[in-house]
Amino acid sequence: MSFAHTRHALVVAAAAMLACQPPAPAPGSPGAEAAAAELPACAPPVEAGPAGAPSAPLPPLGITIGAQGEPAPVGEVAFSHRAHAGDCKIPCLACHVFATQSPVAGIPSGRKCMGCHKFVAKEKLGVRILAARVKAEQPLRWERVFVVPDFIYFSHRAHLRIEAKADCKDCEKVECKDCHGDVASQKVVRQETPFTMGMCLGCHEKKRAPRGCTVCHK
Amino acid sequence: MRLTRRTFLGSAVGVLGIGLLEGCKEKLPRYLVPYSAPPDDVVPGLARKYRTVCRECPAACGATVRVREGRAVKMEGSPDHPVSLGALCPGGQAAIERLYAPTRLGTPLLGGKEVAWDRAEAALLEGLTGTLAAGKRVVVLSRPEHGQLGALFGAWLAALGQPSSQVVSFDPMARGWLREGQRRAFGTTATPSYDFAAARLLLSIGDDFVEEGSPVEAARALGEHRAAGGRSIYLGPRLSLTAASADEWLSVEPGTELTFVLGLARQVLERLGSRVALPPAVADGLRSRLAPYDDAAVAARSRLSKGTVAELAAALIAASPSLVVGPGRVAAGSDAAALAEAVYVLNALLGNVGKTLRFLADPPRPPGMEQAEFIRRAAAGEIGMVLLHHADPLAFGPVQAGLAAALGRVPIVAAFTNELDLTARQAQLVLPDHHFLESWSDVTPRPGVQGIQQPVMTPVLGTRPAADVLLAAARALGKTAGLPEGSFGEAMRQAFTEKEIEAGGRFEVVTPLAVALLPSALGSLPAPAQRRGPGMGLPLVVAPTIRHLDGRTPRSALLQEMPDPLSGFSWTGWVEFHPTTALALKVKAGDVVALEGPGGRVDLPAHVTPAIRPGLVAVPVGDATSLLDGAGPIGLGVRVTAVPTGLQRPLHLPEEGRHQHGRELARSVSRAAPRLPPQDPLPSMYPAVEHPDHRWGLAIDLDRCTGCGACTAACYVENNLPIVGAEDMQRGRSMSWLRIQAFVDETPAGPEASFLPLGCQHCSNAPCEAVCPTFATYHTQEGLNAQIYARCIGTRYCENNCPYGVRRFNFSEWPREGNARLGLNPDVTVRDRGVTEKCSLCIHRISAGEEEARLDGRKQLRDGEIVSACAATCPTRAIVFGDLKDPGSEISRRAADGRAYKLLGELNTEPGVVYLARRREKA
Repeated sequence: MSFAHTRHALVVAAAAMLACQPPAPAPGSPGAEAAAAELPACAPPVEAGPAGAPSAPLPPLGITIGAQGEPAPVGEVAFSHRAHAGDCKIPCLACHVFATQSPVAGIPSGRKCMGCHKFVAKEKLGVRILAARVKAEQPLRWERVFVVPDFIYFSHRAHLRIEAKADCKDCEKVECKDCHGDVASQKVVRQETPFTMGMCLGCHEKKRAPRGCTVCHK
Repeated sequence: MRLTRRTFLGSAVGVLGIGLLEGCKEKLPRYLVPYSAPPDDVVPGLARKYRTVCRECPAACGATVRVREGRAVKMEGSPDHPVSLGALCPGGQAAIERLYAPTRLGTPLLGGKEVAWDRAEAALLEGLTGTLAAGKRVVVLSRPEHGQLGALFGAWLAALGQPSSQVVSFDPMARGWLREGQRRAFGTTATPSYDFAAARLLLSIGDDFVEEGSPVEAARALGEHRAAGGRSIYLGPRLSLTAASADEWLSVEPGTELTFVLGLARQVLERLGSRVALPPAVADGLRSRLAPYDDAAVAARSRLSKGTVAELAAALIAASPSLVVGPGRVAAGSDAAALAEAVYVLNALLGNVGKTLRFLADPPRPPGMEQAEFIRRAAAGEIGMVLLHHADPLAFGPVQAGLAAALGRVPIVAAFTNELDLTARQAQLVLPDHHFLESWSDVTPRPGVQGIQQPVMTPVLGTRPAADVLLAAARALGKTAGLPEGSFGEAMRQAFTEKEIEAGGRFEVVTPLAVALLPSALGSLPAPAQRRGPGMGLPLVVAPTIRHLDGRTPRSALLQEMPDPLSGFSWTGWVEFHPTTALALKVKAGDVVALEGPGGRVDLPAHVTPAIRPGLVAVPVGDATSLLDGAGPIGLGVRVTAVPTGLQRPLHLPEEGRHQHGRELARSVSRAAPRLPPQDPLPSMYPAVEHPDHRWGLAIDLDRCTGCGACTAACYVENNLPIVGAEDMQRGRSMSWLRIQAFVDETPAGPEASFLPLGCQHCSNAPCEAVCPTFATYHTQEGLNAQIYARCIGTRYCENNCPYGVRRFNFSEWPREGNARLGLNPDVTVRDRGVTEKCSLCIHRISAGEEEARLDGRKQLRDGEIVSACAATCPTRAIVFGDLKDPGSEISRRAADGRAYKLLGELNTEPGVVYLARRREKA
């Protein structure tokens, strides 16, 4: 944990930032990309486009906790979830393989990407950058979009392998999109749901999941 | 946007928040960096465990290392290894802290300047070429390495055209007198094996086996011995941890232990008469040699009351099989070998040989070079180059002056080391070696146990394994005959099967040797021990302590910080005096005293305690080596003068904290009727607290606790506890969640020490919860007193209201220098300045265990499936973690025992921690 006292202020700071942003467009609507490209004045600058010089220090993103609609950053490669999860219908777990095995979902390794891209879309700039990196055995860095503070212990596998309670109509399984939004429709992923304690607890209450503090705070 | 009071306040605080954000030094990482090519077996977020061997001391316990994302975060005992059987001592627990310590060396040094590895290796090569060309000898001076690595040293020397025996095994703390005594008594130098559990009466002649030797194995055996109803007696000058664990503490005038044991042997021989299990000729020979040691003579010399020896002899005969162990360091003077011989003779008389004392044949070892031969050859100028391998003779001060001088005569000294120790500072070339968790080796601590040390992670620093540096040098010289083709690691993989590496070693049962007492035993007894040093001085007792074991364990910040269980000192050594001695010397507790012995002078704060025999000075091993000379073993034999310097060092623990004042905190029961009087339940104004599924708790058996503090060290590493340093420790800002509260109380029978491992009691009616203004602490449904750091605003009300004094406040942002952050347990929040913390009962382990069971589709958790860090490492199994709601669990069984009690039960806090009273002879 890095900020015990400042944490409360931070959440409010995030809320304040939100206040001067345009409302997030509905997922899948044409405005979604535009919102990502068009940065509100009070948001920190975001690096644009595929990075020519990845080693150069990038400006701070100023990650905020529970910030809904945070401007979507673009990483070293302009990766499109819409192309992969939407158009090609690749299931989330095909790349984020650890989500059902581990608390951490994991980001696929460059070599895993090359499993397909050895054959598919070889000519695209992003894939060419990727191929070069994998050949040089250098990892790609990805911008962090979904942030859970480091004093919260969230387990992907516990959520994805949950057993529905027989007597509870709301207790259907938790799906990736429940928290991560409809990434299949987003060219550049952004955080659409607020990662706040309220959101976690709301769901835990609805689904009769445990609600003690120590479920997440350890 | 409509401006309301709410949005206005939000924006205002927001602006403030941005300002605070700027001031925030630590931010969450911005980038997510996946593997370029993922390792096959790594699942991010899940731990992997590797078997290896702890190399912090020669006991070489088997260890299981938990590795997260390629970094070792916790070390625990390996349950399959016969030495550790799942437990580790505080030193082993601190290994992780030392792995990431900022003092570790990562760059080679040439003439004291940092150089690249190419340069360092070229310098090594140059040194070797020059030495070989000049026809001088190359010698390896290493810590004991009798496995593959030792063999490689020999093969490497042979490849260079040198005798392969030029390997000096540097083991300054070895208790050579034991082997010598055994040779004189039985004519064998095989390894003795003691069976504590089978012994009905255990007599230790100054053998502090809880502190020295193989502490984990010995403590566990002691626990079994006590659980089986065995009694133990300790004879030694101070109430050490081993003495405190015994049922009776006797002390004789230091230096008269031999007389005492011989007197005891005479009594045993007399009482047994013709029943003695020895050939008549041998028995008759002993009878005549022991004749001068009658009760009166022994009592007069060793200043024991008359009849004590006779009583003890009768008890030993009555409790067959018994076992006599020792002599340990506190009894080892110039007559140590004869004393060891006498102890073995006593065991033979009592018929213990083959029952509780066995001898196991050692595996063959390649011949090495004796230290004396090395010194002689170095003086003759024959040695051109020395390669030190984890050997630091200069740390032993005047004791190793001969070796230090010999090293000074060697033209080139190269040191393979982890830290820039005293000897490495003098070396021309320093080659930083991998930590033992990063490199290969194998260790045989005793016959039948061959532990494999394998790397559990990639190195944190730019170090290179010593073996591979040597191999590279041999290849560069073109002298590779008999050396492995590839790296040393590959050779190790060939020497052991995959299965053995996975299991952590090769373990087999060794058949004991048949031995018989030699007719010549006790044939030549030495003259009474003479003391060296100032004539006016007091006898010096060199005390092994658990924090630094026998003093050989390099000093780690964690071990320094943990207060010594008995004296309470942290970050310093100390000197012990009996109150009467202190009065005569005009010394008060906390005074800094100048001690001067034949080896030199050292200034230490005084600890005035009844737990030492009057007229003595006791100093822990690490500091005592500055006072000793090289004329005898690191043990008894010198006198020191003690003069107060007029300076003061504040004590960490107030003196009052070391007495129970009759409050019955660490309770005891009589051995005859091990039952506490029943307590009626107290009335409560609050409704009973319900625990629907589980009630997690601890059961701590004080009868088994030796006060070693392995639990404390394990808690530090597991729960990311900060090390605050000497200054803050003196201010009482220790962050320890689980401390060993030691009491030394005066009883009619003499001083009595008791240990109370004390952490959060996880009360159902917790006084801390009621006073927290932010509900940062609350009682969970599973019986935990939870602390939510994000809610805590640091009022410290809870700390004030806790009757057990176990809550800790973060006064500062404790620094974690260098790589220390890599060793943090990612499953536990790192607390910030300004919040209170305390034992969480390893809640992250509980959650992980529950999650695992749920994912397996199991409703029930097995007893022992979840173990807290303290319970996991406890060598004696004094601490047991479990579910008090599960009637079949070990903890429930203990809680139902007649010895079970709740600490400060009269407060009706209903703790989840159960203590079991210690069994004593007279409660």
